[in-house]
Amino acid sequence: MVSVAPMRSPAPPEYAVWELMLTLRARYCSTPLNAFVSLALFGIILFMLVRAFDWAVLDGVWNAGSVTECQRAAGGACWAVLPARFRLILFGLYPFDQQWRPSLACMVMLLTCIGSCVPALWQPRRLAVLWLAAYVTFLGLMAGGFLGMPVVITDDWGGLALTFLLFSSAMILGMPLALLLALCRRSRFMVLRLTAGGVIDFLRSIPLMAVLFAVAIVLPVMLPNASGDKLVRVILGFTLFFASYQAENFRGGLQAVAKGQVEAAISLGMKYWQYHLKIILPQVFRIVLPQTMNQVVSCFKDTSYVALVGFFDMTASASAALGTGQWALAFVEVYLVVGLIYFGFCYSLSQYGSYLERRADVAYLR
Amino acid sequence: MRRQIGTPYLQVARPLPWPTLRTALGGGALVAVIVPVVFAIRAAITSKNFSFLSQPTNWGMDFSVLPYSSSDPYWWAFVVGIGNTVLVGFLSIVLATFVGLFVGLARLSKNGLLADLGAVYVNTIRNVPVILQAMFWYAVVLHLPPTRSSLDLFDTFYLSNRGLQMPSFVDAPAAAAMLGLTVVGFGAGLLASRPGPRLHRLIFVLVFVFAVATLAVVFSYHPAAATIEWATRAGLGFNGGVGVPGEFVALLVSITIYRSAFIAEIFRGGFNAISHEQIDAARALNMPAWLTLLKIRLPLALVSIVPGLGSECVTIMKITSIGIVVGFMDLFAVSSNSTLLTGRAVEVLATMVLCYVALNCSILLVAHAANRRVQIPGTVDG
Repeated sequence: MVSVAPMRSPAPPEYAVWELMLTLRARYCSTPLNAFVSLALFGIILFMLVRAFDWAVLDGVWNAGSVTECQRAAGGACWAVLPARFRLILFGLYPFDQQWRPSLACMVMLLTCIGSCVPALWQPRRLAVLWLAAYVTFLGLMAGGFLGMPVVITDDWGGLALTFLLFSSAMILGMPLALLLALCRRSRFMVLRLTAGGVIDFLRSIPLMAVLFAVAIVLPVMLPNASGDKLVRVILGFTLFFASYQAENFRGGLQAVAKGQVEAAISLGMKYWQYHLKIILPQVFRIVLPQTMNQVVSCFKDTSYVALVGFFDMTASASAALGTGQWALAFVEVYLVVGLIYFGFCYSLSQYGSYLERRADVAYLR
Repeated sequence: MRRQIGTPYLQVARPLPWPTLRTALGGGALVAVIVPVVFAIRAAITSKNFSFLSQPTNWGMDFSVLPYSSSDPYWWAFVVGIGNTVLVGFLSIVLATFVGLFVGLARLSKNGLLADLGAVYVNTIRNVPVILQAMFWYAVVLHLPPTRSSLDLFDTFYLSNRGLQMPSFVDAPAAAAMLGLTVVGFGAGLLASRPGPRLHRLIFVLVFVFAVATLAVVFSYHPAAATIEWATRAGLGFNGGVGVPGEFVALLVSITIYRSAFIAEIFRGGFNAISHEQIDAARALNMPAWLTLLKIRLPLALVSIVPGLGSECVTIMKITSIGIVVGFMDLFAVSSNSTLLTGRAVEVLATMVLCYVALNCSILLVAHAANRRVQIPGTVDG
């Protein structure tokens, strides 16, 4: 990896350039063979970048009615599909004249996500209030029925808004549930221990697809009268699945806290919830941070599974945007853009996670 | 009851029971929840009827690794679905491990640019949902040129919008059996050449001799087992060889690429976890680099790689359930079809879940055995 210089006072500018050169040499041309490999790879990468630039920018077409028109115009990327179809991709089947509501709702969610990265808000109460407020606003905007906003049934919710809804539900409901499951799994009571263990192990041994299939399609057959809204069932199933994985992460963290701490807390006369809330859990949260961030990222990606039980989330609506013959050939462009949206979200989440880890390391001096 | 200050340490360390009243209330509430659930499950099970499993399905499959026709019963359709799932899962595991190994090694390369490329690959692939990737690759396959102008690799493999046409053996089952026998013979030969108890080595030698003799006899009396049938373009289709449908290709490619990024990280982590002293010691003994990799770095890295790979196998088996994106009839797609056509949702779900649990448990058994095998005696888990 990069040869990192030990901490020292900033070098004068002429040395800084020299140091950069040295780093580059160590990294890319330490031996003649290495230099040759770097040169060859650089040539290939440059060639591909130029080709991609040609395709996307120089030959890209923004104004066309169909793919055939694009191909007649330049033969590069057919970006014209985006202005024609972006509303379907972002909002699914939501009524056209009401689409300011999901866009506002998505904005609120996005701002909440960004806002909860600010250290000043890192207190359980503040975070809980912020997320609950955002969640209620989101649901209110999407469902309507007040302030003159017409009601939109959940079957019409879709696109990025649905992806956000699933993700935020799994976060808000799933995290506390996961913690509860993990605590139950370590409980002194056999009933709790076995129940939590059974639920967690069962859900972890079957595919997410099977869980969603069970709640979306099998449950109405089992309980024809009392199965409720399909979206609510899917959200609950998805949340439970997320929680069972996250519970195992929490359990690992609970096991990692030194036993002496519990004993010390008990000897001070603290009760179960007191020492968990004040002593154990703050340490657990810090310990399980890396795994939790991985779980959160994979939760965001897994929202795309609902496409397979008949929901119009971003993945499904991307494929629906290609459905009509005139744009079917522009699949590379559409999947690229949708993939970029997922990538942007997941990559920034994981980068933020590793920033938090470094920060925790510095604070903890492990 | 309040705990006294100054109670002896041991009594304090053991968590004391809650006050009796609270325990009784909590226990009562739990029983009130659990008993109805147990009764509901019992009622659900006893009222169910699995007789549909022996009825004919009346629907076909485009591709199955086991023989299947629409007059076969449902239980056989499930077996065929498991066969397809295992086939995709097994091939994905093997291919993804290879790709992952190379990407992982690239990320550890002394060449910075190669390491950067590996990092870009891993970060890009890991952060895009596998369903989107499967849809993309399926669209790619569907937009390949038609069979007449199919892309060919060395006139051996042909890629067209119908899938992949590749060479096959004239007698495929016999060839598969022979391949299995070759692997067994090779393994026995390898084990026989190692030090061990005399009786064991004798058995290994006998197995080896038996395998070689059988192979020789079969190949001389039944040459079809070793004859390769090449695929050639003929008119609108192909002549000879075996066709792999595009759905299968798209599914395999997407799962392989997606999981290879995760496996690359497992390999990288494993190689990074080795303490540097071991490699320095090897260098001090003037061990060549390839021997260091083979005898020092790989065995040490495997200690932490194998558990990761084991859980990766389970993950891949579960991910094959996205086959429904491309219309591939795996275990999940068979179950979904059966539910819609028989209406026996609960029974089908129970069968499917049982199959997945059995599949994952058997993988975990193998993974645990492999894990025990690679642990080094004297280390934490060894």
